[in-house]
Amino acid sequence: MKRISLFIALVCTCSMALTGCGSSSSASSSQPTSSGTAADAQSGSAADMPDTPPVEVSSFESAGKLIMATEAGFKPYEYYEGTDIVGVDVDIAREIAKEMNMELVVEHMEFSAIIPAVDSGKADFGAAGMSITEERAQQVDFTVEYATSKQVILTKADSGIQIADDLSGKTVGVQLGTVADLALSEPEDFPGVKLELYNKYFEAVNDLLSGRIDAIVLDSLPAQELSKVNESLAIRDEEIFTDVYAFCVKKGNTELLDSINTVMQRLMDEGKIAEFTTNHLEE
Amino acid sequence: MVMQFVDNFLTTLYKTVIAENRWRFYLEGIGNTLMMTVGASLIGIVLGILIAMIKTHHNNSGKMRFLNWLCNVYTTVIRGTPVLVQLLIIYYMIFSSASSSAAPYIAALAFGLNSGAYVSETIRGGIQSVDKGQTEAGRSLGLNQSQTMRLIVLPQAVKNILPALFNEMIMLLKETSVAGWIQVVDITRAGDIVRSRMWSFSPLLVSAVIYLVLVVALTSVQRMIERRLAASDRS
Repeated sequence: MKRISLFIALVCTCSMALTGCGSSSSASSSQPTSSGTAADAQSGSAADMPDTPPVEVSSFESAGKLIMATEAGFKPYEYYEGTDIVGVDVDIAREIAKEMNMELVVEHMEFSAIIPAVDSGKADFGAAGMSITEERAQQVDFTVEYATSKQVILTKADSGIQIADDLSGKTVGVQLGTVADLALSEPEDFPGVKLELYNKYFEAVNDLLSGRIDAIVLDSLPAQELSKVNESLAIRDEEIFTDVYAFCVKKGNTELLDSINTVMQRLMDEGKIAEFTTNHLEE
Repeated sequence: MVMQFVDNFLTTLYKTVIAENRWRFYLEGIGNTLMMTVGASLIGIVLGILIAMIKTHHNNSGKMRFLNWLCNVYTTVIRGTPVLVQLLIIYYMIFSSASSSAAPYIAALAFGLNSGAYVSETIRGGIQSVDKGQTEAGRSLGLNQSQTMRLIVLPQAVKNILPALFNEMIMLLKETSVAGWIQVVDITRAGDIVRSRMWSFSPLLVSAVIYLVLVVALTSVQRMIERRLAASDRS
């Protein structure tokens, strides 16, 4: 009896220790703009408290943190540099957090998990080179659009695929839940295409290089980045279709939406977004 | 109040399964999962018998030292690594040039190789649980080693082994849920795909229910078989 209770006590201690040590999946941005003020998340807006000295907030308080949901496999918009997540979307988010006097926390997750995370409140907003679509707009509220993108074909330079019609009869990789996925899933528009759904782009690229799939359809800037790293890949000229990016917030969260829109508009007017984009493309 | 709940439930069910023919994903998922389960079970049993035979023979007679050592290395490695890691290594390193449509079959192979290591222990235990007197009786009747094994020991061992093998198959059914990592559309991945079009969690529940139904069905078949086997004991 004694031995059993000792064992149970040991198990309980170990599991408590493990839960205590467990860290969340978030990777904070490399330079948190300011330690969050005690202002709660709802009322953070640009004009509030310019003279209040920042208050140290313990890292366990949720007020003062602005959580961004993203999928960090999409250079130049969000990607890993060492253990930090950087990119155009992170730069924009940092500006937003600075305006709102909050600490930016960037959380990486599967692309198709972003909207559910924003919807359930796990994250305050989603920023992932996400295109505005009608179906998505039913689940979340989108901000102003801050970038246009075209969907292009990435394929091996020596493959015979040149235009969208050439995809018929081929195996094409897309990321699960993206507009490329939804578009290519329409059999009337892309007949005879065998679709492979990937969670991460690097998996698709590996399969493209090894010949498992014949092409990937994705946004043009990330395609450029991927073809720079892998010289045997090439981007075809044809634009499959064009779409626009926006951040998304939970439906009805008009305060956060307005804050983000104000900052975004300012950044666009100042040409900052173009600057961010060039920065991350050069590296 | 209740009506609204029912209405909500039915709408969600419609959106998850019927809208835009989403049930096709689940159907494909069920097909792949069952194929992988059955395939892996068969491969596992064949492999398990082979390994069990080698180990038992080595135990009894000291021969086949190299084969026995090989089996030990194999079981140690398989039992020492997660099945997902084994799956990724087999798909991306060993079968790196295989086409993506072969992925479900490669997954079945990987799960089968994994299962074989565990099943071999079950089979070996089942064989050794048959009373040594049976073997002695068989030998003294003039049967050689292999005949004794085939005609006397194995049939009795089967009764011990069968419930455990069935358990293994039920575990395999759930184990195959990691096949989505190599883009195989199994029940779990089907739920993922519908989730990416629906932006809600209800497809996960549908996946869970499908697994539950399959496992309950298999369990009741297992109970029926066990009852039939036990009947022969009483007579």
